[in-house]
Amino acid sequence: MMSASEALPVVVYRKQRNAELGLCLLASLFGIGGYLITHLNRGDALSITSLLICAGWVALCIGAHLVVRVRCAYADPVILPSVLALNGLGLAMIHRIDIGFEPPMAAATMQLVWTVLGVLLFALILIYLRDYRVLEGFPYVLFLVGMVLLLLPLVPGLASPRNVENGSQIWIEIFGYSFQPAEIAKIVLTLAFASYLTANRDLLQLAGRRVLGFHLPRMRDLVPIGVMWAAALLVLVFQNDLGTSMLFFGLFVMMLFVATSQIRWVVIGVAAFTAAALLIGQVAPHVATRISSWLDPFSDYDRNYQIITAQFGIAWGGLFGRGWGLGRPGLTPVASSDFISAAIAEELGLVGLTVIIVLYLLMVARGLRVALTSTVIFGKLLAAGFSFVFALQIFAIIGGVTRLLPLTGLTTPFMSQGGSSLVANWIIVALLIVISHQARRPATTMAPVDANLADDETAVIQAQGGVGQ
Amino acid sequence: MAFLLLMWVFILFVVNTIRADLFGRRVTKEELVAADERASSIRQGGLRRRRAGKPPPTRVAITTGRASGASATLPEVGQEIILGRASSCELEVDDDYASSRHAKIWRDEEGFVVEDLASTNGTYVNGQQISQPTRINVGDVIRIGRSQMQLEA
Repeated sequence: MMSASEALPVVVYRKQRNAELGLCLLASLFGIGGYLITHLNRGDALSITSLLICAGWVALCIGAHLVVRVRCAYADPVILPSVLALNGLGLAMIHRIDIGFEPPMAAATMQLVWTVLGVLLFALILIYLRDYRVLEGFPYVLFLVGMVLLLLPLVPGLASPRNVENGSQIWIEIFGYSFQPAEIAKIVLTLAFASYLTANRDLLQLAGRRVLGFHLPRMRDLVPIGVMWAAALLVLVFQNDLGTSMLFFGLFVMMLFVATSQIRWVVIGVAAFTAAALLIGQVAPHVATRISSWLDPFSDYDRNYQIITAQFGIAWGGLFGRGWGLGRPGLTPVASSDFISAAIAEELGLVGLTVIIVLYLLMVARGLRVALTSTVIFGKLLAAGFSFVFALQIFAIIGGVTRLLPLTGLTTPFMSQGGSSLVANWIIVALLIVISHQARRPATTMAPVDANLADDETAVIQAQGGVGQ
Repeated sequence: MAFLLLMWVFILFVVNTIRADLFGRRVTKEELVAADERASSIRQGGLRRRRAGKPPPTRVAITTGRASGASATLPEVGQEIILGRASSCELEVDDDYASSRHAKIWRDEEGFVVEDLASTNGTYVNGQQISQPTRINVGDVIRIGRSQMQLEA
C-alpha cells in the first residue's frame, strides 16, 4: 500500500488572508480615489474632514477584513475586496451626484450610515453564525415569511407614495422610512428553497412518467413551481415590475435545476413564465407601456425622460468617460439609485463600466465556486442561489439601463442608493463567506485512521483520507 | 485616467489571487516526510507519544462512522462502560456491524482496558482483532464495525 500523501491527492486551499488584506486596501482606494478626484476636478480645496472620511473608509475596510481573518480564516479571499470596491465606488458616485445639485443633497451620508450598518451586520453574522446549517429545517415557515414580504407592497396602508412616481409598486413606507421588502425576501426565500430542495430533491429528480421521450414530473411535484409561478405573476401584474418577478421565479427555477440537474424544470419554468408574461403584456396596458419605452423610448420624450437622459449620458461618456466630477449625471432623475451605472458610464466611460461588470462577474463566479467546493448540499444550494440572485439582478438592472432589457426597479447590488438593498446584500455576502470558510477548511480534525478497513472480513467502506499500511 | 488604470490593476490582482487559489498550496518534501513520520509513529502503538505530565483521557469518542461525534465519559477506577448498539449502553454505537452489547472499557490503576463481549464481528485495536482484554491509551484506535473510536483528553 502507498502512503496517504501519494494515494490521495489532498487539496489544501491557501488561506490567502494577506492577499485579501492587500486587495482590501486596494479596493478602499476605489471609494477614496473617486471621492478625492471629484473634489479636485471641481476645484474644491481638500479639507481635513474629507481626509478624515477617507481614513474612516480605510478603517472600515480593514475592520471587515479583520473579522474575516479571525472568524473565517479559510474563506474565499476575493469576495470581500470586490464588495468593498463596489460599495466604495457607489458611495463616491452618490456623493458626486449629491454635490452636483444646488444646494447639495445628503444622500451619500445616509448611504454611508447604511454601509456601516451593513458591515456591522456582516461582522455579527460572521461572529455568531458558526454553522450555517442551523438555517436549514424551516422551509415552509421561511417560505411563508418570504411570500408575505414579497407581496407586502400590495397592502394598501403600507405602500409607499413614491411607488406612483417610480412606476412599480415595490416600496413600503412605515413611519416615514421607505423600505424595499423584496430585498429581504430575496434572502429568506433563498434559504427556504435551499432547505426545501435539500429535503426533496430526490423526489423531484426521480418520480414521474416518460411521455414521448420527455420525462414528465408528477402533478403534485409541480405544486411548488406552480405556487412560485403564481406569485411571480402577481408581482408582475400588481407591482408592475418585471425585474422582481423575473428575479424570484428565475431563482426558484435555477435552484431546482441545480438541485436535480435536470433541464426539464428549466424548460417548464421558462415556458410557463414567458407564455404568461406575453399574455399579460397583451392585456395589461402598463406592461405594454414598459415594453414601448424599452424598444422605442424616443417616441415619447416626456414619459421616457429618465431613460433618454441616461442614454445621452452614456454616449457622452464614450470610451474613457468625462472623469470624476466632470460629467452631468445629475440631469437624469434619481440618478443615484436605478441609474447609477449610467452615471458611472458617463464619468468613467465604457472602460470603467466594464470594470464594474467584470467585478460582479468575478464575484458571482467565486460564489458558484463556493457552491462547487462545499460538500454540504444545503450549502451548495444556498451559495448557488445567492450567486444567481446577484447575477440575475445585475443583468436585469444594467441591461435595463443600457436598454438591453425593459427597465426594472431592481437595485444595482452594493452601488445604488438604498439602505434595504445594501444591508440585505451585506447579509448575503456574510452567508457566502461563512459557507466558503466551512467548505475550504481542511479536515484536519479527523482522527488518524489506523486500521486498513479493506483487508478485514466485514465488508466496510474505505474511510476517506485513510492512512494505508 | 489614472483611476481607470487603478481599477484594472485591481482586477488583475483579483484574477491573480484566483489563479493562485486554483493550484492549491505547494506541499514541500519536508512536510510530506514529517506527515509520514507522524502517521507511522501513531501506527506503532503510541509508545513514543506518551509524555509525563499529559492529562489522562476523560472521554471516548467515535471519530469515524455513522455515529461520528458521539462520545461517553470514561469510567472511574474499578468501574466500566459498555459500548454497543443498544440504547442502554453508555456509548451507543450506531453501526450495522455492532452487536447490541459489543465491548466494554474499564479502568484500573494503570489505565484503561478494552474487552470484547463476544460480539459477532469482533473488536479491533489498531487494526488487530482482540481476543483478550487489551490496554488502550490516547492515540490507539478502537474499531467496531465501520466505526472507529479514540480516547480523548
